[in-house]
Amino acid sequence: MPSVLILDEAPLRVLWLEAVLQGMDWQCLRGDTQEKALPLADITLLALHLQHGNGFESAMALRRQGHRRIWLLSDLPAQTDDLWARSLGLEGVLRVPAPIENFRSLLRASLEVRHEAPCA
Amino acid sequence: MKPPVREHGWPVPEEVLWTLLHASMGSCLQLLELWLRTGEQEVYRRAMDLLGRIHACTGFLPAKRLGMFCGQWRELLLKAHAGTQEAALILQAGVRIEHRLAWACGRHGDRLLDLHTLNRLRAACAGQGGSSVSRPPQTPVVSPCFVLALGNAVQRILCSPVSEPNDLSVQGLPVLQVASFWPQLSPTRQGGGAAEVPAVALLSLHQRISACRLGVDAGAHAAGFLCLARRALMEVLLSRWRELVDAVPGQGQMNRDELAGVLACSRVCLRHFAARDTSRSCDRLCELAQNLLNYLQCIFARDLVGERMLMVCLLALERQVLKRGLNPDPAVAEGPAVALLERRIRRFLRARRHRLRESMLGWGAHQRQVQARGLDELQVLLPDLCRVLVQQGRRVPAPFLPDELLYLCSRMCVCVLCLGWGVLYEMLCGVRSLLVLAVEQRLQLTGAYLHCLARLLTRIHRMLQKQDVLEHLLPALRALQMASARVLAGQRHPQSLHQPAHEGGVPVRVDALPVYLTEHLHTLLLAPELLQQAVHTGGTRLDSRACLLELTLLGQGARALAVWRVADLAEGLMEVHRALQIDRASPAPETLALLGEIHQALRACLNHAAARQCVPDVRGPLARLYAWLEAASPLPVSRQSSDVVRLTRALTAGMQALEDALALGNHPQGLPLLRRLLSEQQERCLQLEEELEDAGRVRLGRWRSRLWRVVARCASATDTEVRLSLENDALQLDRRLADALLPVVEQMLEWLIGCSGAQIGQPGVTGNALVKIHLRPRLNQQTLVLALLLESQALPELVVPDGLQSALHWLDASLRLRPGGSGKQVLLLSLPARAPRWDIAAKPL
Repeated sequence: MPSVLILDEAPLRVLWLEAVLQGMDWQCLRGDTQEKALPLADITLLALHLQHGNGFESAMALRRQGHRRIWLLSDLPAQTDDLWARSLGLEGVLRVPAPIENFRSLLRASLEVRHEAPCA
Repeated sequence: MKPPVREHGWPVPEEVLWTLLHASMGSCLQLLELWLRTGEQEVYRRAMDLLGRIHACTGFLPAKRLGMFCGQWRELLLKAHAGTQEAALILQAGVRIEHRLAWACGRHGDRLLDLHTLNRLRAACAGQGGSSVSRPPQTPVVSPCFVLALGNAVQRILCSPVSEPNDLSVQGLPVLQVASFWPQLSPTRQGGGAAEVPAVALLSLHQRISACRLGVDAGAHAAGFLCLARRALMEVLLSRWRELVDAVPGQGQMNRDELAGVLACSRVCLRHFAARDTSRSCDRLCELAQNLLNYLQCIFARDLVGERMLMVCLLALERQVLKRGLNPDPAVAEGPAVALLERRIRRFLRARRHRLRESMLGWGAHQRQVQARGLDELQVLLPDLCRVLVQQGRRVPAPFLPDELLYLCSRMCVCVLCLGWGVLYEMLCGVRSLLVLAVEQRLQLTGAYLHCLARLLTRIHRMLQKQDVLEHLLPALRALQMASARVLAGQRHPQSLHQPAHEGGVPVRVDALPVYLTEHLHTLLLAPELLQQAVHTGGTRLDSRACLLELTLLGQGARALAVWRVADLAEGLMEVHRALQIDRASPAPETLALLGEIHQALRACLNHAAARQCVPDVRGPLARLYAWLEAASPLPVSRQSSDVVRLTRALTAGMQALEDALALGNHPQGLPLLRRLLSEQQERCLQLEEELEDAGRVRLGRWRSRLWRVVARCASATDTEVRLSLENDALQLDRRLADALLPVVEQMLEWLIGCSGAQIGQPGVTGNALVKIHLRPRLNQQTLVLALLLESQALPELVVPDGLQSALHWLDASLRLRPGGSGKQVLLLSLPARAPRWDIAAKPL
């Protein structure tokens, strides 16, 4: 069963994510960006806008810890958000909430792609 | 007064008869269309009957050629199956007759009925075997070529500028063909696309006929027609879009082919719209709308990423529309038609978003849980957001927005969306867009706006507590909308920030810069890790040339976007990389470690900027960079002199070799060797010449590192944030003058920063401790003018110190102070653009 680590400070969005993922029979793990030892999961979903810091910075730290397939979450992503996330070696930015089927498809597709090691 | 025409014994004015015939001709054409489509004999008979009457009536009019035309035309129509060419000819002739009737008793009407067409009609009639009494076809089938001819006519109309009356007169024939025949024939063509064609064609016809009837030149109607045509196009476009809004994916009544037709029509309309507005914002608008249509097609084709792309595009389009509303250029703001389009697009977006929302939230069993959680979260968020707004309201005008504001607003958007409060969601999306604009474009949010927003949020909070209805919020919503409009109206006056210009005066597209930068920064993002690896392994894989290029790009881009901290850090790093590149030696591990840390800091700054958050303070990293530069050897001059010595030595050796080669002059292999040596010597001489020429002059860009070191030192000493900009880097000065002038400029900077720093520390002086200095050197014939523009919250009273006075005197320079507006002061340093007088003993500084 694939696992997803959700790092988001907005409870409602977490609830939505859990509902969507449970519908896929995927395992949901929750965590806090401030935690030092986070469990490794197949996919990591991280909020772009955090109360302290931002998703880009946290994602870089997570990558150093060995996390792969990191998606950023935003309710109103701009064009540059996705471009910048991909430049940093992340999967991209997901709009949340978004049409459910598309959201699930993207996650499944992300899981199917063999993840390459980061350039640096 | 023209004599009345008698018909059936009644006196009929000639104009009335023309009008009647014109109307009859229209009916006749319609009947012919119907006959072509259905093949009904009765319809054909009625058409021919009507045509016979028209032909007969022409005898009452002083238009002989019209009568001949009608006769020949009728004869051709009475033939059996018209061939491809005949069908086109029939239409052409019909249209010409229609136009002639529209000209009525105008003097030049007969020019429309040209002899060439008449002769072709006669030839066609003769070619049918001479039988003028043919039976109508039992099953009229429209020839494919006939349809093709019509299609081509449509295409010509759509691809031609409808606004130009001259083209209209040329295109007059297909216009009526299209207007009359296309709607009936269109179902036979794949892709639909009927609605907009009559709109364009009929408008063309209307313009032409009305111009003819009024007896004026068609050109006089051009402006009015342009407006009509565009409005019609917009109407058509928006009606197409409305169909898309109504069509829910998977449940709509449109199939893929129909959708493709609608999209094709929309594209045509957009292309027309774009062709008539050459403004940049319109280009962007149309481009976005085209994308929107593409993405919509993706959705209907069940493309997985289509929906997400659609949302991105919707947001971009909305933003563009918003910007277009802000455009102060009267040439672009075209009045009601564009305003209508903007309003409709917004409505379209709202409707589409509403539908998308429904497809986003499939809560199912979680519905109640979501409602409860959403309300709880909203109760927590509202007071926090109010608090931040009140705090921000006290700081107006504030240079930066707190990061918390965007974060809280973002969370509230999600809550409201999940609770299904559409109006509030739209409002919060608007607020969020405005906040993003405020961050990205330094849009100043007024105190009134923040106050209105806080009041609305307070009401929402009260409403939640009292279980009140949403309608009570409407007055507060309207007030916020008004305040928002005022904020945006304040943006109408473009500031230098939004339209910065290059040295050549070409404005930079600031709105396009973030995407451009994001797409072009690659090496910089990997640099921290590569440099850290290099510390351990000894050799670096960092491409310093690419790094320098990206840093230059970033520095300029960040300055244009007014992200000063990123710009400062990028320029500092650029100086260090440039120094390392000139040195060509592999950098020490300490240098690599320092660079790694600073690159890390730069990436953190970029991440913050990308997330629209406040960029961290970079004074610490900058001070470390300039300390490194201070400790580094003054590279350019020493290297240059050593290079010159090396080249001279090579030249001497070359001369020696030449002498030896000359001794071998009689040897068969001596000549080629001599040629080769001479060519090498020539190259070296040229190089030396360039080096020596360059040695006498120096570019002012060489000053950068020295000046920034001074600034960094003074800034840390006075605890002031200083931003220095040096313009006209490429200006070349005599090396001796530059060497003498540089210490004076350094001293002036120290003096200015020291004075400003002391002033900022004084009680009663508010504002941030930020000093901006712009150094602008200009060479006016024999005089060098250095303008120092000082910007500060607290301008000091400037009294030139004695040391500086004497230095200026030695340089024959004069210093003038000139007020440069609020919070600005200009110091103008003028001096002769020649080397200083060396006869005076001792250097000044």
